[in-house]
Amino acid sequence: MNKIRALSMRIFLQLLHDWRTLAIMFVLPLILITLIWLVLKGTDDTVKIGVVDAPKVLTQMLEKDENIEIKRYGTWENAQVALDKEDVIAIVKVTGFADGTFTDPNVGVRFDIMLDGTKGSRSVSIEKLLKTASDSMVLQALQKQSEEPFADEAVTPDPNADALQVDLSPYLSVQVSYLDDIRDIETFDVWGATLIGFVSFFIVFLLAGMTFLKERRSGTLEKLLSTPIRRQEIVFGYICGFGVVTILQSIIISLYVIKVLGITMNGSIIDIVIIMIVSTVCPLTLGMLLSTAANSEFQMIQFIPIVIVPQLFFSGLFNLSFGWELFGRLFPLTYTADALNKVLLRGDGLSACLLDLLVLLIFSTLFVSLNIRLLEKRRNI
Amino acid sequence: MDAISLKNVHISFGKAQILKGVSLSVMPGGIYGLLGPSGSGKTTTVKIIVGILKASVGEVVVLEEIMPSFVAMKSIGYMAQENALYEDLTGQQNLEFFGAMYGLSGKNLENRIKQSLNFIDLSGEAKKLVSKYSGGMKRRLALAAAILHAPKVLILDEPTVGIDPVLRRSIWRGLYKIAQTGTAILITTHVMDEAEKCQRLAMMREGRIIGEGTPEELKAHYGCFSIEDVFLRLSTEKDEARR
Repeated sequence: MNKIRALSMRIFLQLLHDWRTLAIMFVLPLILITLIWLVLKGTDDTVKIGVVDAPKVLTQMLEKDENIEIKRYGTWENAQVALDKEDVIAIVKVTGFADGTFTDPNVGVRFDIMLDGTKGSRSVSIEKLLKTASDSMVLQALQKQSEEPFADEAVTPDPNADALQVDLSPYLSVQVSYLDDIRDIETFDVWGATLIGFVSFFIVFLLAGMTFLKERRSGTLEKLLSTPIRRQEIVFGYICGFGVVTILQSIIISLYVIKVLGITMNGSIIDIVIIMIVSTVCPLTLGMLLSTAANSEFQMIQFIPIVIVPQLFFSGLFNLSFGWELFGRLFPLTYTADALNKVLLRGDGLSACLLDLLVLLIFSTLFVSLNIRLLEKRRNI
Repeated sequence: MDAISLKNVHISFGKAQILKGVSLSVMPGGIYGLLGPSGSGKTTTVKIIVGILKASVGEVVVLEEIMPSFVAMKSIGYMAQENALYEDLTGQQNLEFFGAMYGLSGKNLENRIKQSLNFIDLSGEAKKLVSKYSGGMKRRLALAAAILHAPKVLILDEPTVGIDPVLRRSIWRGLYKIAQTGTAILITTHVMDEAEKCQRLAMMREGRIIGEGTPEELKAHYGCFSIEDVFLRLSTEKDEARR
């Protein structure tokens, strides 16, 4: 244990004296993730929504958001043409509503919403936004009604109550449809989770691999192997030393992505940090393993297109056929992305990701034991 | 009892046979020189003694342990041809790390580091990063890392390469002192005048020992005035024998 502690302490001290590596560890991922975020978010923040027969209450409510621009169309057909030409991202038609109240309270109001499915998460968030707007519009109308003497006494919503507490279904029907619906493939958040996992994977892999390779190239590994340290102590010392740093990195990346960039986050931030930490053990052990196998820095670089790049393609960025999806399960990143998505998007707890985390740990264990075996090539005991 | 004993050691990497029956024995308390041109198998021999490599054939015993053995490795000090230092650590941190690898800790480790730094005269520079050291300072620190745990067997692979004559002399003086404490020192070199300073010598060529004895014995036996002549004589004899 003392040797493992001394070894991890040494790695930690080495990193402290090496500001370049520190920058790569902590600053580079944030820069890369910000770039990815900027690219995927798109440059134009204004969202155009086409409306047909929309009451003033609704358009005013929507226009409160500076990024939303309302375009009015005379007929549903014209609006659809505009949607097709991508002039607008969504179109809404409201029937059964005039002058801030229902035309016929017994029928209620009907919302027809059609969205451009190719805009990924933006379409999804606009759909949410329109639904919220329709809810509050109907709520307001109901409140107004209840203040009047001939109000339907069945509904007296408390103005402070949460909208969800009131059953609006008798008064509101919302029909949502998508034009060219491919939103399942391309939502920003799905990309986001995979890419965050990838950035962290790539950087930890490179650093662990390069440091271990440097140990060999500088002759210090041989010196180390001439001491009575056991091979597994070397590997675990490295994991512990780098582990401290990657835990820090995981926390920083998670906080940055969630608090600063504001990625869709429905789960718990602690779960995200735990997933990130477990995920970094994989590139750490894989990086060391491959640098043990590599004979030079150049060979280490050659491993990148072979080992790292395919992970990006097969870990959930694209909709794959069943066979390729099975192939993707050979890559650790697939499980990282899956677990992150579960917590970020679906708001699941850690218990839903246990299998993913388990598979990641199995990968790591495999890499570690292979590495201990391969080190035998360097010393026969 | 010999501190190091090799009997008929063979080793090959793939098809290349590097050692073809090396036998030698080193007594405690002396400096034993392994002399030979580069590529003769000195470093391979040394790595087998240290425990990094394992002989394919033959018996290697260090401190009464059959190598490779973790027990013996605790009492072996090894200074490789490369400096094998962590450049992004200070001299002190390097020694602390290697000390811990030999199981030293606490006050004991502190004292040993102080003694070793004094021995190589680097106490003043211990807090500096190794990357700021000169070549000679790095070599001395590597020596300190090898003697830190007061090994009973000290293996030095070309320790004075790239070191100026003044420093070389002071290192040799230090080595004699260490040997006087009963440590067995094995040193490889291809510098002939260094070979003369050893108490015993083995001459290596193409994976074999071609001559062994004290420098005086060797010179007298072959009727030469210097070790260099002995070596050249032995080398040509071998070549003729092969033809």
